[in-house]
This record gives sequence, C-alpha cells and structure tokens, in this order.
Amino acid sequence: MNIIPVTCSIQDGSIGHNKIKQLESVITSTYQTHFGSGNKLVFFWLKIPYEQSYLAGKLSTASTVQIPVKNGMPNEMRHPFMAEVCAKWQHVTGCSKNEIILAVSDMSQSKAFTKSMATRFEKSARTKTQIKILTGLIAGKIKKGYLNSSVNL
Amino acid sequence: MPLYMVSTQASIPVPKRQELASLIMNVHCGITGAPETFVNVLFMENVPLAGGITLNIIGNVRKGRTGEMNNTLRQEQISQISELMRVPEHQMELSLFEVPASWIMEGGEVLPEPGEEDQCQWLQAGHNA
Repeated sequence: MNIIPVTCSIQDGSIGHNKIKQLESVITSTYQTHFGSGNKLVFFWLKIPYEQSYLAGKLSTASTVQIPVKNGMPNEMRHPFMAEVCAKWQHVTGCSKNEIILAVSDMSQSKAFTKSMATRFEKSARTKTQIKILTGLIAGKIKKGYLNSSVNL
Repeated sequence: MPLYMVSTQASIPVPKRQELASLIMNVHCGITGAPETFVNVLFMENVPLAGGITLNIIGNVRKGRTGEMNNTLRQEQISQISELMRVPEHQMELSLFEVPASWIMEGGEVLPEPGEEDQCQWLQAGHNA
C-alpha cells in the first residue's frame, strides 16, 4: 500500500464539511482508477484566512491542490488524471475552472518541496514546530472528521 | 504558477500585503514575461523562522528558464521586497523551486512552457483570474 499525501489549501469557510468528505472520496477513487487500488490517499486541508492569498495582484478565491504521483509518470497518464480531478472538484464545489490550481508532481519533487518548507523553521525549534503542526491537524480531525489546520502556525 | 509563499513571524498589515503581492507579480512578470493571471501569492503567519530571518519566501516557478534569468529574478525580488518592506536583505530568504509546467493545471488547462505563452491557444483566447 502506497501512502499518497494530498495537500489542499482552501479559502477558510469556502467549502463545507460534507463537500470536503465528498472531495476526499472522489479524488481517492479517481486516483485509484488511474494509478491502481494499492494507493491510499491521506488528505491535509490547510485553511487560508481571508485576505491572505492573491492572484494577479487581487484577492484570490482559488484553492491549490497538490497530489504527487509515481516518479517519471508520463504526461499521457498524468494529464487525463489532472483533467478529471479538476472537473470533479468543480462539480463538487461549484467553483469556476479558474478557482482550482492543481499540481501533480513526481513524488520525489513533492518530498523535496516539503523538506524545503521545513527548513524555514528555526533549527532548534524544527521538531517542536512539526509536532505543533501535527497536533493541530489531529485536533482538526477530532473536531471535524478530517485532517485540517490553518496555513498560519 | 508561479506560487510565492511568504512566511513571517508577525502579521503583515492588509494594505502592505496587497502592495507586496502586486510587487512580487510585477517583478516576476517584468523579468520572465509570464502573464499576470498566473501569479499567486500566499501569506503564512506566526512561522518560527530561522534565526535573524524576518521574511522567508519560497517561489514555485515553472522550470525551463535559464539559470541567469532565475538569478536575476531572485535578486530583483529580494532587492525590491527589501525596499518595500524595509527589511534588510540579510534578514530575507528567497528561494525558487522549479516545477515542470506540464505538472500544473490552471483554468482547466495544462500550463504552457515558459516562453511559449504566445503559442498557447487557451491563454490567447483569454484566461481570467
């Protein structure tokens, strides 16, 4: 079983709990259809407070979704998956096509990016900060039923 | 894409955030020629940054530009952001993280390679943020 971490950065309050559960379900089934049932997707929902994201210099209402795939995945397989995820995201949320930004990176690139994000932290506080993030996500799951936290620490 | 993630310990006032988002977009588009509608800026607060650092920016940009252009982009972003935010350059970190355009979908379409925007039909037909 491959564990696939999926990070969804969404505008705070823009997508209801039921729709989030629905998105987890449809993205998982889409992933398994395209890339095999041996993949288990784990979703991390990061809420962006109002006035903290901009697109083209204006306040943004877009969500950013990062779903890694096996290294070297050919575009002939990657692109149909991407198109299907975007279409399903729009269908579930009712958002426009301009409100979903999807990144389907190779797994190694995704891990390197996560690592570079962690290097922002003060070295002595790195472990403590990562525990704080994890605790926040788990608290979010207990409260709402899915792993969630704010982009602010 | 690009997606610039701006991390700070303290909160940046909203008008300053707006100014910074516009500045990052203008510098990025001025140097690379990328369309403004591609430029995302996300602010993250209360981040325990490394010692002596006030502002950390990680920019996810499309892969395929020359190293020289990326260096110019990085230096110009640092210089102009430092001036706007009144933060000395040595208190800033700015790194660019290259991602192949073919891995990103925006507006329901796969992004064009850098420099191929003019040949991109869906972009020329109108891509609204």
